[in-house]
Amino acid sequence: MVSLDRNTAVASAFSARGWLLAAVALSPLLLLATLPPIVEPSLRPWLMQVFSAICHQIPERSPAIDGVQLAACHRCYGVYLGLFAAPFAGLVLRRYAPLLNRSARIAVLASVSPLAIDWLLGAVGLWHNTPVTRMTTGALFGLVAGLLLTLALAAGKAARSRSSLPLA
Amino acid sequence: MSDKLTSAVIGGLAGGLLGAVLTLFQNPLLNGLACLTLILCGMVAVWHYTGEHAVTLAGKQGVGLGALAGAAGAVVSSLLGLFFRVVGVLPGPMEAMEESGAMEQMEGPGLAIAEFMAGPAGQVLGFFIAVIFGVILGLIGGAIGAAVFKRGEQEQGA
Repeated sequence: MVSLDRNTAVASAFSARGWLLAAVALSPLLLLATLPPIVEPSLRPWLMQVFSAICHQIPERSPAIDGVQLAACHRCYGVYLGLFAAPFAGLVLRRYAPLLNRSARIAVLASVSPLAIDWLLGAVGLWHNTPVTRMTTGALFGLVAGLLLTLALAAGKAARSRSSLPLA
Repeated sequence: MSDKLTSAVIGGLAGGLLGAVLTLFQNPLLNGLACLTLILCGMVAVWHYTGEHAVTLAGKQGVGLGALAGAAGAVVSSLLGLFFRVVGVLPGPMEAMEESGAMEQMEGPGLAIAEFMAGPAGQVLGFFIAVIFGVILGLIGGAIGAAVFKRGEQEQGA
């Protein structure tokens, strides 16, 4: 009962402003990377140039819609998907913010390991990763990283509210 | 220089150097790790700060430090990339595209944009784009760092 009260307080103190800030910070990557097939053909090269700073954009390793390549590779696109979903997952999981905070090391390790193994084994030729494995492992890491950012930005007031809770 | 700025610079140097060195291999798969090196900037900055002061940073503090470190990392990486191109270790943007065969596939607006981006104005624009990406990815690294590296009492002022 006590822990439920605490969790409820943490949830109610979830800062909407912080959440919005996280959503604003995390969504442009996915939205911009998805734009090439939607925008005028003359704008596509600009979007590709913008993302070339952080992604290899190898055509055969990148998703495409109607034959038009998106601006990021499968793995980066997966990361952006995870980052985009994270604020919404944060809303659902905000009651468990203290648990995620305590288990952050395990969560980060568990989300990075599949990505690292998939990339490393593929790079040395021991494993032929597929678009699905690249995107899934990227999305898992993006989701956990985005969740940590969302909770960091949205939980500021929660800490103060918790400290004011009467202990039973 | 404040302690946090020092940690941000150290994080930026670590991630930026790694990012720049990876470009030397001219391997697309290694270049694809550029985003992770910018996340690393934020993590290293928080790791350094919490280690030096034996404190735990609140998530927001980690995010701020990470954003600063990511921006520093993007600056370091961009300047080193420019240096590598000036001394001839790395090919210029147009040469790189010619070598990779990308120029042959380009036509019309794509070619014009590639030529613009290879010029001085394009390089400046690319620098600012890199810094924006650095901030976004650095703050993610800062949030991860703050959650992972907890070394003592929580620092005041969160």
